[in-house]
Amino acid sequence: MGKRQLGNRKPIEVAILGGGCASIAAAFELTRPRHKGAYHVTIYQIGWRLGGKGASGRGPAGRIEEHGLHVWLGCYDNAFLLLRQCYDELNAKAKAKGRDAKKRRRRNWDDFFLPDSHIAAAGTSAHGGWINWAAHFPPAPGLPGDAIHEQNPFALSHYLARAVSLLRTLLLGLETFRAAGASNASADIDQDADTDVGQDDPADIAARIADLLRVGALASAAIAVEALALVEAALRSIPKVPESLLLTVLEAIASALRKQFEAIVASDDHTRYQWEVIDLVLANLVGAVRYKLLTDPRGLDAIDHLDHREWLRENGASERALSSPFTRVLYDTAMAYEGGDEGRPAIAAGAALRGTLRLFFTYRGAMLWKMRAGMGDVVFAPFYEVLRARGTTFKFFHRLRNVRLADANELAPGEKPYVEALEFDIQAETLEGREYQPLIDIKGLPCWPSEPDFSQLKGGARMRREGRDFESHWDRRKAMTCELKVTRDFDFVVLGIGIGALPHVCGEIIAANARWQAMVERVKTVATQAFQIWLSADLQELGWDMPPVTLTSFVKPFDTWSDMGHVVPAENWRHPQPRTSAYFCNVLAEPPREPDADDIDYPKRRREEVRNNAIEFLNRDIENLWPTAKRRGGEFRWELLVDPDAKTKGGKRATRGRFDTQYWTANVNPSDRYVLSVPGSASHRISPLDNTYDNLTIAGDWTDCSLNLGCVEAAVMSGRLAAHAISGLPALEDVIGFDHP
Amino acid sequence: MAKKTTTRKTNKRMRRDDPEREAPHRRASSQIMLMAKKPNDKKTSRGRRPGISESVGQAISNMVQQSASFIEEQIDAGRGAAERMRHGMTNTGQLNANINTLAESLVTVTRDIGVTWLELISMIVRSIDSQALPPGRGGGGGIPSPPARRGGTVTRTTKSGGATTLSSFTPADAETHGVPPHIIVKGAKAKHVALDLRPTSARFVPLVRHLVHSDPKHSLSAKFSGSSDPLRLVLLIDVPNRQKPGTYTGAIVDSSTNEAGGTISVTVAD
Repeated sequence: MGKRQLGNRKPIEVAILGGGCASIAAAFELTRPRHKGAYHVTIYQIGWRLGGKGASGRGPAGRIEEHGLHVWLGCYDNAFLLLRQCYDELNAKAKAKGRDAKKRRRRNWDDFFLPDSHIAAAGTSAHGGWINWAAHFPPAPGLPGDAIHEQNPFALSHYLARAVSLLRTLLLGLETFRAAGASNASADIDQDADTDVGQDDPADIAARIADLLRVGALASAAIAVEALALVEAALRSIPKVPESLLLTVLEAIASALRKQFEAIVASDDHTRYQWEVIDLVLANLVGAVRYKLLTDPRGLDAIDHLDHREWLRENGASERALSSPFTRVLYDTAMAYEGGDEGRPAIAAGAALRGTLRLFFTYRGAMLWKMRAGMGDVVFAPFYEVLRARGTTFKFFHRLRNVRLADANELAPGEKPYVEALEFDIQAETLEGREYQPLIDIKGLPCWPSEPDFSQLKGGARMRREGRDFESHWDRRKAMTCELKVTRDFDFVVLGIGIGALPHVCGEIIAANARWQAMVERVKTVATQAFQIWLSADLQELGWDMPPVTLTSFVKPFDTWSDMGHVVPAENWRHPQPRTSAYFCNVLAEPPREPDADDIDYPKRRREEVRNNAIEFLNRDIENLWPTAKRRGGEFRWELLVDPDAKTKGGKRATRGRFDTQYWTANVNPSDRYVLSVPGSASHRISPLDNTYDNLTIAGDWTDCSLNLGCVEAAVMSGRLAAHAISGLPALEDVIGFDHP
Repeated sequence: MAKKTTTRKTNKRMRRDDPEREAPHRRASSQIMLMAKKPNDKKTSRGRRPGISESVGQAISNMVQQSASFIEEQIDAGRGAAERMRHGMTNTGQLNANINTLAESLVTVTRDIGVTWLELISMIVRSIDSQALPPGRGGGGGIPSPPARRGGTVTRTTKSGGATTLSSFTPADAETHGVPPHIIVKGAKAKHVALDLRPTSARFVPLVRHLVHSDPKHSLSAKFSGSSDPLRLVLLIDVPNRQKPGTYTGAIVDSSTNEAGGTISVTVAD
């Protein structure tokens, strides 16, 4: 690419629209010291806080209030890489300024991330009621964000080696815990294996023998089959291997095993779920060989036109396995329900398999990493501080209204279309034009508040009284407008706003460009809902007898729950301090009719709906997770909820009105909608590297960033690609996982 | 990367260059190729970059070794489970014939799967190795004659390592057509090799044990191998210089059923 010679020239101005993960990643890359100040970045952000879908705030008692559940995965190599570099730079700057050593220690990245090796899935028992399955995934060497070793972790041989280990883990590490009241029919096989059978009742002996037979046979035969299939799949990369022979052998073995063991597993929950795991793994492997995924130049994109379940079904998975919690987990964690409709699960098979491979086979340290404070505190505040120190300008309260293209009739011969102007509504001005200071201090940690600091704003008191919702798509009130012009105010644009908002701000581009039109139509999003409660009892007192987990595939409308007791110390509670907190989230169904553009009360109505959903969930379903959280035959024990204003005393019986002291949210703003990977949509995504508009690039988990899933890692990858599009750095080979089947 | 063509004083705007590529490399096999090209690979300690096939072969060898030990563990686990079960029944005095039989068959199935898989992998690895061999490395040869047909039998005569070779293939039924295996002879003392392969079914996987002299103390080693052509087998015969002269013969059997399916004879000169 060549070195840049700036001399006395001014830096290249980059306008980054939006302040989410992708935008922050792009800004971080463009302002690296290696660019020697070649780029000046300005981030334009609606409202008062960075974060986009990852934003969090601090409410009463300094409690953390999130959009939903934000758990980072141990395979988020790009996200952790940048985060760790950010913290290193933060600490280096603090050290240079001579700040207190004790405070410096508190800002290490690993002070704020808690490794979590347990994932749980909720399923139904053959004997009625719920079973909660918890799998422990052993720690993997290293930490996320460590340098990639010589052996490429995304290489086929690595995946295959770890696939065998994984299946062993799944088969041997699954534990079953039954919900209170359900029968306990399954035997603990490991404990009985070495029991002296000499004096026992013949019927018991026969049962134990049958158990040994099932486990031993399943484990040895199925894992042998799996190993066989894995190596066969690997060999597809070698030319002139008799493919029909391999596929025939594989399918014959899989079919024989299914027939042999289906009848055995039907009535025993433990073995049934073990077999469902094996069934799903086998279907994936048969599919990999049948669809020639390892030699197809499209890689896993080759099956993106199929839904994940559809693909598994085609490759022999049983209907029971397709309905099992181990399949639902994927859909629930990816919010993969079109229109927020439980009856319309949809995730592209290729994207699903790619994400699964990275999740299971490339995590480092732990599979999950929970944050010890809000994502805004742990991620966006440090990045804000580092970027600001690097010279980045932040323009809060700037709502993008339109991305205007240059008149096509005025383009020079051979000149590509380009962005001519950016039009904004300025929602509020600061007093005396001072720079808005967005962070507050909670127990020594810089945090984002849950509402803006009105005292810094002109007419702030009035805005507070009016109930201004600066983050609402439907609250269009503004102080003024402004227009930025190309060359005068910016040279390049990074469009980092959520795809749900693009039809409202990129109308010209969409009208002029069929690919953009297809992208906004085919890359779907879904609204989400979430609530958080703070409890005066811990999990054990509530009747949960497993380790603290992240559990999914539970009932709708809140199928995902995570115990978040570890963040309570970062909050600022007075007495009584909660013993734990719990986050619940899920998709939110589309309304019967799309709201009007000026329906300012729409978010409030949806929030009310979420409140009602949460109350009903706590009354009806929570006892399957927390058996003692309900009164016998009655409602949820509302007195368990801790009021941050401490107006009520603990111990007294409370009504459902106590729920109003907790936190819930309906994420209905177009830019806050969760990005889906529905079948057939990946081919309509556009890459940040696309150069149709030669002063514009895009960034977000909705772009074609290779991972193509709605998640932090995809957003960060996309941001890094956007930076590459402008500056040539980072090199594409350095965007971890970009080249991936 | 951005091009800055002028200073801000003019109205000329900045534009992005077209990227070197937009799409990621998706082909899974490319990952192995890319690994082979990395300059800091341990195989290049002498400054030589490994060939693609070598890296692939090594990758497969690694997987074979890893999976082989894993398979072995699982077979042992299954066998152990079956043993515990039988032990339990013996202690109680009860004999449940159905469970016993099922246990035996499951252990057998597991073993057979493992063995079949390992043999399959061995064939593929040999296939890769033989791809790296230049033509005629077996010790000479010459231009092979086209195969002759006599009824359902196909024969092929050629030379290898100084020996005249006659390879014939007779399929199990008239509808099946086959190709005589290629014969590669190492060593100058072999004069004549005759291979008569008569597989009993389409699933026949040939195996030859030792070729034995009339004096049973003396034997020759021979083995079937894969080749670059997946439809053709290779018979490898190694005749050391000090091999006792005479004729060595042996039977070809099916590797899993031990059914007879042909003969091999090798004449070693003085």
